[in-house]
Amino acid sequence: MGKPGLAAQTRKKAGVLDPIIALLRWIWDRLERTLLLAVKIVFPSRFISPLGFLGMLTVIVFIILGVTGALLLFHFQPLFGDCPPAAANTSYVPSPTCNQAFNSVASINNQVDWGFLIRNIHYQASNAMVLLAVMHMFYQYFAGRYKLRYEMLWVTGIILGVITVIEAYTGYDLIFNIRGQLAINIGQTLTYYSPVIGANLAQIIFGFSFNDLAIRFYAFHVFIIPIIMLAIMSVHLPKNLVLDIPVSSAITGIILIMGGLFPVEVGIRYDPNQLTQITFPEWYFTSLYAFIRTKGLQPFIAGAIIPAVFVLIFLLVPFFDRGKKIAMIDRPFWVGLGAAALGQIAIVTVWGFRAGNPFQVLQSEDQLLIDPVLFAASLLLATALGYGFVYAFVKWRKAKIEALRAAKKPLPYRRVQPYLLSRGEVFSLLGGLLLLQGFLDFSIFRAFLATLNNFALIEIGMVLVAFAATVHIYRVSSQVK
Amino acid sequence: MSDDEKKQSSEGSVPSPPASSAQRQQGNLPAPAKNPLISRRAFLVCAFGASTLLAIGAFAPPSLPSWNILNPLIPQREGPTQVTTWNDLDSKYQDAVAAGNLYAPSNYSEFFYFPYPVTDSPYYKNVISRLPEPLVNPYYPNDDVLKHVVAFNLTCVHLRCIVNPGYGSGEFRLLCPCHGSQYRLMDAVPVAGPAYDLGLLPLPRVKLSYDSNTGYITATDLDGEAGIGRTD
Repeated sequence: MGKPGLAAQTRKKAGVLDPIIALLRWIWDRLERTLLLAVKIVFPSRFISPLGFLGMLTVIVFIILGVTGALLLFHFQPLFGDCPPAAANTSYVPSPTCNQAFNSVASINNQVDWGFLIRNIHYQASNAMVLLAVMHMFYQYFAGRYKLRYEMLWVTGIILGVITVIEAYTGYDLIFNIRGQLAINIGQTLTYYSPVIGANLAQIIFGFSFNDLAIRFYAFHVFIIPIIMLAIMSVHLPKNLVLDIPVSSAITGIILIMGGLFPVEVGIRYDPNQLTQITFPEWYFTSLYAFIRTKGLQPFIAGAIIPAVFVLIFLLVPFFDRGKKIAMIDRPFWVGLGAAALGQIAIVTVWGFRAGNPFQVLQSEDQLLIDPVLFAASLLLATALGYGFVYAFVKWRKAKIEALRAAKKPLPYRRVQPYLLSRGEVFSLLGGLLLLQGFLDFSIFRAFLATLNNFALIEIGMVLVAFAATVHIYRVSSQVK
Repeated sequence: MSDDEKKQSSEGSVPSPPASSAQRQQGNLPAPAKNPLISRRAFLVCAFGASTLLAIGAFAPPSLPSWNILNPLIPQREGPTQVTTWNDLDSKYQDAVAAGNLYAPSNYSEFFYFPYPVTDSPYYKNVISRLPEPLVNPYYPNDDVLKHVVAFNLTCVHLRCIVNPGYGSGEFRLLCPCHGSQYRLMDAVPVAGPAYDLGLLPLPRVKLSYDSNTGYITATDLDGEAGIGRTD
């Protein structure tokens, strides 16, 4: 039977699904007028470097956070509850209604089916989102994509990055463990110290009581800040988006594996009747923690002005770098500046985890203070080395290329020859990966039966990574020898 | 300026615009107005702007601004509150002495919330401690019971973390677990850490009274403000 005959036959026979298909087609045609389909999503058929679409990976992690967060909403209680006063002796048993937010997080972690997995994915995805956003920013910075009509994307991106960190902050405060509670106190005081509107602003954001605070941060974390992020994203995302299925799947898998390998603990319950303890903030705040602990630095300067100046410098970069060239080799100053910023971030973040003497383990309150001379010296050293080395390297490289050009010799760009798989290799790799996935699926089932939650999470992540590898090999198999 | 005022100013005083408008109405002629006081476009823009401002203004009475919807409800301060009994506190101290736990003052301290109850007060956590033997409360040197007792608000004046009674550098202190501020347990004056380096105020003091009949120690007032400090 020929094609025209088939078409005629299907046209004649009215299927049951025809109205539904017509409706879907009607909707699809109208969607073309909306933002939804105005965005062009490209599914690359060849492997391209993930560094180029780190922003899209951040969006994917944002979606993961949205889905897991929505699942956690079913069990989280944004309430502090009532804590009857008790004496601070060791035989004290906390009341069950005290710190309900923490209790609900603990029950999500320990009792709710799949709760441990979802919570770990949510936590590791939040870390991944901050990390990917920072990596995305630095890649775009070094690639020179902040000027020459990229200004809008750059400025909204920096704002989006800051809001991402604030969103993460409201998230880990909601657990109401000691770490969250101390972070709340510090955030409240830094807001309070802001000029003119500080006191009012602190009251509006943090409320007056713990119950106020729980419900306010809940509102911020699950609704207000995500809506603001979506609004800014609508201006930040470019028209053409690269959605690479294997890399996205691999990132998701890595988040799950990290969740299994480094499960986040619930932490020490904050109980107003108990002693508080030394805790570290999350890794994206240890830099501020180091500044605040530096001797003689005013807290508002250390915790707000210094980071604000750092962010502002990045925000204003496109308005100072007016050059028309975007290659790294033509921008030694700006590339050096970026390297210096990376060095500063690294050294200050590490300082935040260490005692005043960085070679000691932090154990008691006496060790918290950081010597300003040592701190500033290490910061300056990191800045100078980062800037100096990179600036010198870029200059040297440029001189070398120009010398080669003058001598009409080939430029020293290494061209990577891709390894081409043979047909047999493709089949055996695909077969092996399918077998691995099958084995892992069984193993996940067994791990759940044995309530080995961490192990199951690692294995689910491995399945996703194996899926990524399968799709990738399928993709490159079109280039077999 | 309201819309009415503007209409008056555009129609009144100067004679030529009303005349021209009357002319237009009668003869349906194209506007021949020469140098009108205010052009139609400017009038419309001003009216629109003024109306917008007035509409916004309706939401901002100075006595109760509408953004107050965002403010939390502040609970009422409690009056004098019984905190603990002297016997209770002293027996804990004697136990600690007997057990050799003297250098962990949390063993003979009690946390309490005043002047707001526990859940209403992230920053109104206080401690009442039995002072170890040679120390005397400088605020009640002549009271037989209260000279052995101190009570302070525990909100660190540096960044409002909650401090703990502890021991360090050969002295009984209140230690901050966040950034290492240290206060003397006797009078809560900063002696080390950022609170000392930055010259911040001592912690607020809870004023106490003792009833010798019932043995109760009562918190009567807070001297200073939580997170800010006391100025005496």
